Amino acid sequence: MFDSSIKILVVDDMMTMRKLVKKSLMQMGYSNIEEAADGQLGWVKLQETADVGLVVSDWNMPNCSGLELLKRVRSDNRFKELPFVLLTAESEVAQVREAMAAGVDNYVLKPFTFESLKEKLEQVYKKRHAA
Amino acid sequence: MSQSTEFDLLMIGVDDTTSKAIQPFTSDLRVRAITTPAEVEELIESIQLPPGMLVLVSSAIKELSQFEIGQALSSSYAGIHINFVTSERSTFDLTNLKKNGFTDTFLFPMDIKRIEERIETVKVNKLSAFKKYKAVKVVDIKSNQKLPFEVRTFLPLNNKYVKLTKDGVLSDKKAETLKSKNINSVFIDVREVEAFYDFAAEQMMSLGLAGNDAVSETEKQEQFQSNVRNLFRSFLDVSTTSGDLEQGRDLLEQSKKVVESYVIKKTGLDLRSKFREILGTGGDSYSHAQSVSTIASLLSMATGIGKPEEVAIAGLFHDIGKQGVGDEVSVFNCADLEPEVLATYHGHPRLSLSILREKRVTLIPLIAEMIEKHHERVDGRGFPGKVQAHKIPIEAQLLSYADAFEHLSGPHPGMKAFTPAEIHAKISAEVGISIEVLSRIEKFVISVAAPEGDQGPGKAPSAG
Repeated sequence: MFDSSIKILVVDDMMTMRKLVKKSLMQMGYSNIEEAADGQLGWVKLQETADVGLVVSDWNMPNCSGLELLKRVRSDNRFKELPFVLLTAESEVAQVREAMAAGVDNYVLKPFTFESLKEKLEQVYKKRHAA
Repeated sequence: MSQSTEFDLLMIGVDDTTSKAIQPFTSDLRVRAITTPAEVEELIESIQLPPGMLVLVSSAIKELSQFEIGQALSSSYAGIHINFVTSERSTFDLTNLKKNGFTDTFLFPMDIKRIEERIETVKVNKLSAFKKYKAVKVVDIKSNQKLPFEVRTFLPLNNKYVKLTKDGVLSDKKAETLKSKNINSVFIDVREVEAFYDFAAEQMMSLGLAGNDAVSETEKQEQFQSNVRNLFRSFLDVSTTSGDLEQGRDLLEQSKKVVESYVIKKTGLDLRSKFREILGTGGDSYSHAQSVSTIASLLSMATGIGKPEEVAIAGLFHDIGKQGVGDEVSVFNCADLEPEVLATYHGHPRLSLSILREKRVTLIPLIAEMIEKHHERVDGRGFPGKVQAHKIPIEAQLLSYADAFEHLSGPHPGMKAFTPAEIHAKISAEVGISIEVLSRIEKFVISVAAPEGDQGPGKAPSAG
């Protein structure tokens, strides 16, 4: 699993979901968590905050969606290798292929459980650290 | 820090009109009303809602949509009933409500009766919570030992539960009372019953470890075997007793939970969650699988065949490939099946393994072999592989015995229950297990039939 000191950026326009993701991450042992309320703010935060090691972002947000944020991240040399996980609602699963093509590491279906989020993050870590 | 709930019904963002309309139904209940985003945030961060809690959500909190609240609640809490209630048709988006975690939806005024009925169930559940105490078989509770639960006995003449422990400790005098009156069953609060299961499992584990200086090896073995017999006896008590069927089922549930806790502690594997993840459900399939898992594990503890946690895992997953063939089908009654169904039945051990591989459940080879060969026979007439005796591990034969035992020990409508001796005789004659395995099991199974003396406090009343 990711090192517990990793800095994680949580991006979601819903306050409750940000709190929930943050709470789940803290239960997993992570305490270094930043938040942003939409994709645009998330992009700004990413540039202002050093050493973000993981992004967990909602898909459907105003100003800049999770997919748009992902594309910006992957097209910037500074962040192109940054692990990125999307939270998606059931109606958006068909679009997951688009996110995969854009370089997302994994997605979590909402409403999510603590176990499913943890499992998905573990999968990302294992994939990134394989071989 | 989580707070325990002191309310029966939670209402979030419910407007005054709707509140007034349902107030007559909620007058006997403690209602917590949440009307601001800060309170929603506090709820998610620090309040623990128990499974079964009824939550009514409406759209009166302008800063938070009902979809956001539904998502947040369903992600935070398992087993709660999140219901959307509104008098505004414009907010009644059924499809999206269900997608966002709502279990039911109510539109006023046409659904007022349904709301009343739903709230009524909360009242009924609240009353049944007064049955606070659960009878448990004592599993080596010693005096001066700090327990994670309080212990009570029931005085029928006074119709009262009396606490025997103080701060979780049983005094020498009270322990002597339990022993001298031969009381093997005591009562604990249902809210502490999970702690009891964990305690019992830890006791079993510590009795299996060498080096416990306080107790001799002989005493440890005797106590261990006594505990295993007590737990195993519950599988017979349900079908044989003419007494309290509900209490019998409670004791059966207790045995299963203790073994489940034992396996989790030994392996770190949460079997129930894994099973649900594979089949997407619990229900009756899980019940049969859990029973076989428990019986197999207890037989392993009693006879030393295999490792209890390994046979428990094999027992839980042995029939997941039995799709379309009911749990009631067994080697005792499969001869009358239609050819197509029989073929499916004969294929289920290998299909179970395929499903586990597909679901990326990693099993050690012995557990996989137990699952594959639990219907093989030492005379080579088993299935699916008609494998010869020397290729059937004794652990697989133990699982075969446990599976057969579960089928024979259940209640059979219109028939008297089999005694342990009858069950063993039938398995010996019909299931194709080796004499070596049968003889090791026989002594234990027959000994279970002789109760060790239970002068328990009698039938638990329905209110505490």
